[in-house]
Amino acid sequence: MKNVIIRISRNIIFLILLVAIIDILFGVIFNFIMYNSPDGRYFKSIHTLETSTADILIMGSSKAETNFNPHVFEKTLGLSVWNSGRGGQSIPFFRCVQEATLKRYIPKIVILNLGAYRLENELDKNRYMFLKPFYWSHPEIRPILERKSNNEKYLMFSSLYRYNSVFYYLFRSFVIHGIDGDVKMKGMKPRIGSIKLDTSLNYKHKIERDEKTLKEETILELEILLKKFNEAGVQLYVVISPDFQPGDKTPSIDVYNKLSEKYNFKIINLMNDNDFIYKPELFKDAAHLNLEGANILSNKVAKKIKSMLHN
Amino acid sequence: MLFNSVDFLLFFLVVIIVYYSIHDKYRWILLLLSSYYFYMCWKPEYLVLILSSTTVDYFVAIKISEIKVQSRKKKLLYFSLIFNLSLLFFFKYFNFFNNSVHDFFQAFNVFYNKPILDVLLPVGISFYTFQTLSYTIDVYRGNTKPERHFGKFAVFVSFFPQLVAGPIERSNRFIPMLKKKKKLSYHNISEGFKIMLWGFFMKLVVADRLSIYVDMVYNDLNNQSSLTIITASSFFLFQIYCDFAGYSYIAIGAAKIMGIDLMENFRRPNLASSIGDLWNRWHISLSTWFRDYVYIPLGGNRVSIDRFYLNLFLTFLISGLWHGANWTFVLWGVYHGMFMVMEVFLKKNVKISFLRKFNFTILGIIIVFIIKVGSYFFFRANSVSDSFFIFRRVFYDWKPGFSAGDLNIFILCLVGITILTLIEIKQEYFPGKFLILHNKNYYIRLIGTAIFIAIIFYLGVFDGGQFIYFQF
Repeated sequence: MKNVIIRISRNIIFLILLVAIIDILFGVIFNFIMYNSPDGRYFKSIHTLETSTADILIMGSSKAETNFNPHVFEKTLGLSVWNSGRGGQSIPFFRCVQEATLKRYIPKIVILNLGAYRLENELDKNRYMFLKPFYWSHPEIRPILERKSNNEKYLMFSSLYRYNSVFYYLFRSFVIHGIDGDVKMKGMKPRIGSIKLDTSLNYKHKIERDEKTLKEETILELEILLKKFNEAGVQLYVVISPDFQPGDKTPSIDVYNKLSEKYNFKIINLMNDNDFIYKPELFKDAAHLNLEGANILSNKVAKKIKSMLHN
Repeated sequence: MLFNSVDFLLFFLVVIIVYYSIHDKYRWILLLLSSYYFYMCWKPEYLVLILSSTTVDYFVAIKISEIKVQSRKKKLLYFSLIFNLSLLFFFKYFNFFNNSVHDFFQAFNVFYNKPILDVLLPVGISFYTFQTLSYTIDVYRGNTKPERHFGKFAVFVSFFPQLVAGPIERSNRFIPMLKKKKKLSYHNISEGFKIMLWGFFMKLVVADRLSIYVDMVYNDLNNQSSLTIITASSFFLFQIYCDFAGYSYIAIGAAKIMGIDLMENFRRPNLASSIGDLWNRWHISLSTWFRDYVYIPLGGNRVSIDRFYLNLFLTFLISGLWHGANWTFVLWGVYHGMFMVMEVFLKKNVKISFLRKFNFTILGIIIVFIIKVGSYFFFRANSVSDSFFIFRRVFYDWKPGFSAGDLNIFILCLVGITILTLIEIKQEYFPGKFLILHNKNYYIRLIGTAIFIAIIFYLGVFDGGQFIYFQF
């Protein structure tokens, strides 16, 4: 019995040591690759969390990433701009960007694109986890990353876990240049081409949806985000981007309106803006503008901000 | 408490340390307490169900063995069957039955207020119910003697590694193993650990990754192309296999560490070259259960040829219903029953002797694969109308295009399936060759195991995905 215990203990120790060596080795390799990305998702994440000092920070999900052209804003407002938008993301990701940014500097302006239905969605606990590689280097985002599960803070000791399953996004920027947006576009990922309309469908009506209840947890998280920007003295503009088809006022927009007074931010609602709706030449798909549409929208938003600044 | 959680790993570690620290004769107490604790982590109240099943079958089996009059034995057996199946019906099938009857009457314009039963399905009820049923039936048939030690019988019903999703054990295999003196064995610990690792690989790297793509497609069927649906259904074939077999392997490995050999539940079903072969490889503990307690009592193949076909068909129909209280599962059973009958019919009636010189294994594997993918149009669909929608879209109303979803996830799905398939081909056709985890060289074994753990950590999905078969 004693011999068996010694043999098992010895093997467990060897195994743990070996796994730890593999883990550390791969962690070093992945970290090196990530910090040398020529462009792409991780290049953008590093710049957003660690090096950007832009006067204007654009935040949001895919709509922010594709609809807002930093060059147009720079030209109109005369301030430097970085677009931190990232497809598929929601408020927890915005919170991570906020925490990492406010720790380093206070941007003059933040433009936050919020969807008209954003608060109907459950609070995301998964998609923003691609920021796991930054867990140790960014203590300010740790509490947000740890929300995923009770075990997260233990799992994060493993490099393999922090870089879990990301090899495709980690490597593709080395192979296909600009696939995740060119560095010159300052974070923007423009979409080229126009929406292909299905001739069998009638687009000339407002989108009707079943009313859904708002998610309390999501609202609370948004409030934290708004409160922190307000306390930091950031001028915040919440933009609701247009879709190809018009939509009704939603319960989420009602909440944005209520919160705007409490947290002192402005709302630019372009949801039903006639410059965009039913204009296929400006859209790549029903929800995202193409580059031409993005330039028009950016120009419009920039001018509105400029006029608000002067007022 | 899920196998794929840190909580379980800690729980299991504590159980193992205590298990080998205490005297052999007290281990059943530890196993019973830990099994009940394990089950109570889901819903403590439902422990009453296991306790009542255990108590009823314990006393019924003893009584059956003591009584000499056959008719009284039969009455006691029926009592046990009715008791256990009533619990199963109440918790698992009542709402299904209720809704079906309501829909039936509604079709004839007869309306009434449907009684609603809002209860949560007790995890693993189908598994432990079948396990206790087999015990009582075996005692009635004289195939096994009743267990007089209540505690050890209770461990047989509730043994935590296989409690919620099998393998469905037989008492004459399990209880003697439980009673056997067990020493701490390096072989058992090492083997059990490796079997568990393989289970974790199947669950975390393959099943949970595939579920992301499959769910994306099946939850938005209207907007998916035909090829996308076929791809998702093919992925689901691997997903459900790895989800269920992954659970079984973790259970078998965990039991092995405790010196208990649970029965094999899966034997590379994706390499089955006929429908009959498939059911010898897939969910073996359930297939053999249905063979012994449904198919053979119905007469098996020792009846007229028409009755034989009917027996086969009925066994699959009941098997479908066992899987879930939904018409999709019933249709899944009908579908497999039809193909099984067809295969037996062809084997009996079509002269293919001149073809026997050819090796049809690969062709057989491909045909069985296609038939299985078709069966998942029923099994995975959220409703019967979804199932028919899928069949229409695939066979009649072809919609062009293909959606890979998130390319990263799609690539990882393919990587997982490829690794799994290569390993299974090696196990099937080259046993004893290219060994890594069982290599004679200690260092190759050690490094191989470390790399395998690293692969699980790097490619696995750690979002605590439920096991699909828990719902059955």
